[in-house]
Amino acid sequence: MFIDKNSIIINSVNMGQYLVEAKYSYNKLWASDSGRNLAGAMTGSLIGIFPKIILQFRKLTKSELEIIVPILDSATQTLTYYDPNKKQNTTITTYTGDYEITNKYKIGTNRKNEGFSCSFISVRKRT
Amino acid sequence: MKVHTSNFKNKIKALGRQTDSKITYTINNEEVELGSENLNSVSSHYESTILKSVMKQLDVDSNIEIPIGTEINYQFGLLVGSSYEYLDFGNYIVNKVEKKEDTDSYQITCYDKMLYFMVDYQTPTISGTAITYPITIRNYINAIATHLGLTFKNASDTFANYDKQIPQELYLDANGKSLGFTFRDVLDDLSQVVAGAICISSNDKLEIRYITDTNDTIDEEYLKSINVNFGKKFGPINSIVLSRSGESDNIYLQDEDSVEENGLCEIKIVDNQIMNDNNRSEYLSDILDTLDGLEFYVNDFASTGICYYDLYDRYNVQIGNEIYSCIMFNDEINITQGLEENIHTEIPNTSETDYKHANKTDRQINQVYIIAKKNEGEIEAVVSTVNTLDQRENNNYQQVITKFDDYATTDDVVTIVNSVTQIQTDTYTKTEIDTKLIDGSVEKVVTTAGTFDENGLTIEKTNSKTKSNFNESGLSILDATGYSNEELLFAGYDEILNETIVRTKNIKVSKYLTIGNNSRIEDYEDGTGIFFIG
Repeated sequence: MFIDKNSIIINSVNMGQYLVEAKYSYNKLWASDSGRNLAGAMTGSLIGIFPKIILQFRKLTKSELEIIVPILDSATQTLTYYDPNKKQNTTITTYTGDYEITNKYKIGTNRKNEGFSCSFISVRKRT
Repeated sequence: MKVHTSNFKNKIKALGRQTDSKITYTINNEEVELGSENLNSVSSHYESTILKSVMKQLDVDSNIEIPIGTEINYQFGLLVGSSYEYLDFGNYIVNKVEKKEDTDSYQITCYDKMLYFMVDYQTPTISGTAITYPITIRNYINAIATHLGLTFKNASDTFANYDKQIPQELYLDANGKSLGFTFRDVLDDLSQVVAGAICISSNDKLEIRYITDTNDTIDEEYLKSINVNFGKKFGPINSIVLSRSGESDNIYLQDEDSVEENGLCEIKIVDNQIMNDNNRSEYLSDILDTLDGLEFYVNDFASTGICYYDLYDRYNVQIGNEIYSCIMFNDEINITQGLEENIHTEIPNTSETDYKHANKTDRQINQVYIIAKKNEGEIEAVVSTVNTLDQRENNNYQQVITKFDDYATTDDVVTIVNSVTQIQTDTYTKTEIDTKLIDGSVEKVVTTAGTFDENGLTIEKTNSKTKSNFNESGLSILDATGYSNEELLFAGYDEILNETIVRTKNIKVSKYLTIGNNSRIEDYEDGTGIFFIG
């Protein structure tokens, strides 16, 4: 949950200034033993809930993008966000999905990239 | 049954259960804990049946290598409420480690401390001193456990046959050398003696475990919808058979009422080294007392995971209105991202003894049997009636000897035959002798009195005064006092005179001397008278 400008910090970079939207999803991952038991009831092991935060970036300048892209390109990131379940800021390790940056013009000091989005997925289940 | 809460039992079957695993061990005086982050999978399993020793195995796929020989503890966790509740699966020894290059992980095989018993047997020692025989079963097990660095959990308990005596070393040869037995083999024999399982407890003690009634029931919600098989009920056990000699020599003890009511269900113990001598029937009572009436369902089912049952736990499975009473003999728990438990129970190795040729004690078996005395490295054939047979044989022998006492042996007969043959070859028959006696072919006969040959009958002896000869010429007596052989008397034909005469050197006539027809000389009064008598 985005409660203030400091609600999302990735690799010590406060992302609030670059974002126009943040989408939080909490995905359940079920184990292969899931299925129906002899009584017909669903059963199975929940491997865990893996938070996924999709960030929508605003149009960024060249210098801004040069700050963000190294974070996106790294294998893993340290992401701090506000977890409404825990009611506190939580730090997780994430990996990123693919991202695309659209340029309609030459990018310069005043010309900016088009906005784009990228997913940050927790490596571990939410504890 | 492993210690657990009722919440655990409810949660383990629920949708969305969350599990955890942790392995702890000490290496270089530092405690290490491997959690789910580093454990890719854990599989706990054991295989058993009644009257066996049991070793539990743990297979671990870990991202971290654990050195061989490391003692580890494994705990399985289930999220109950806000925290994990862990079941203690006990301690294990890392026995094998293989690097899996494709996944960059380690396949680690571990066994519980029954592994210590997988070594060649030797006489157990306590504080470096070998035990002495005879020794009770309980003290013997205690000595084995102590010898291998473990504590015997039942050292003060009374259990089946605990006070029976082992008279001597049974698992080494006469020279104290190994016969290939391991301590585990000995534990298998002891399991049969004590009528239970011998295993390692969760706190690493050597334990005699009997079937424990948990009074716990699971239902369909714990079972997968595939591979659920509950077969026929085994038991109730009502007969114990001790067998040896290739199962040809059996003694037994039965609960006869149960046999009559339920039919025969026997457990046969074959070639147990401890219960192999002729006092083996003394063990039967305790074994039957322990196992009498034991029954359970044969099964083979896949579970969504129960995890808290332990070896030899009796539990119930309710499917619909049917309740199956089962015993945990074989279990395999696979913990990966999910959880699966496979349980099965097989019919023990059963047999049907020919009771016509079995009896309740060895003393009543009047037939040949064989004791497999493996400790002496030989099969010793024993004839139960050997003394009787020996005596009978001896009597028969004496009778034969008596009957044939006056008879020659074959060798003697052969000797005699040879002699007779030789006699027949080298001597004359009676007929031949008779013939020779009358046909004149006998040329000389020598006796102690003299010689009868072609010169006639000559009578002479050493130191005799005379020597006589009688032949066709007449009778001649010679003086043998000297060397002259002077003629003393001759009666025969005189070749010179051409007439028969009697001639002598000296003659003495005691009364008359008659000469011719007319003359006689004789003593006359005090003188000599010559008379005409014609």
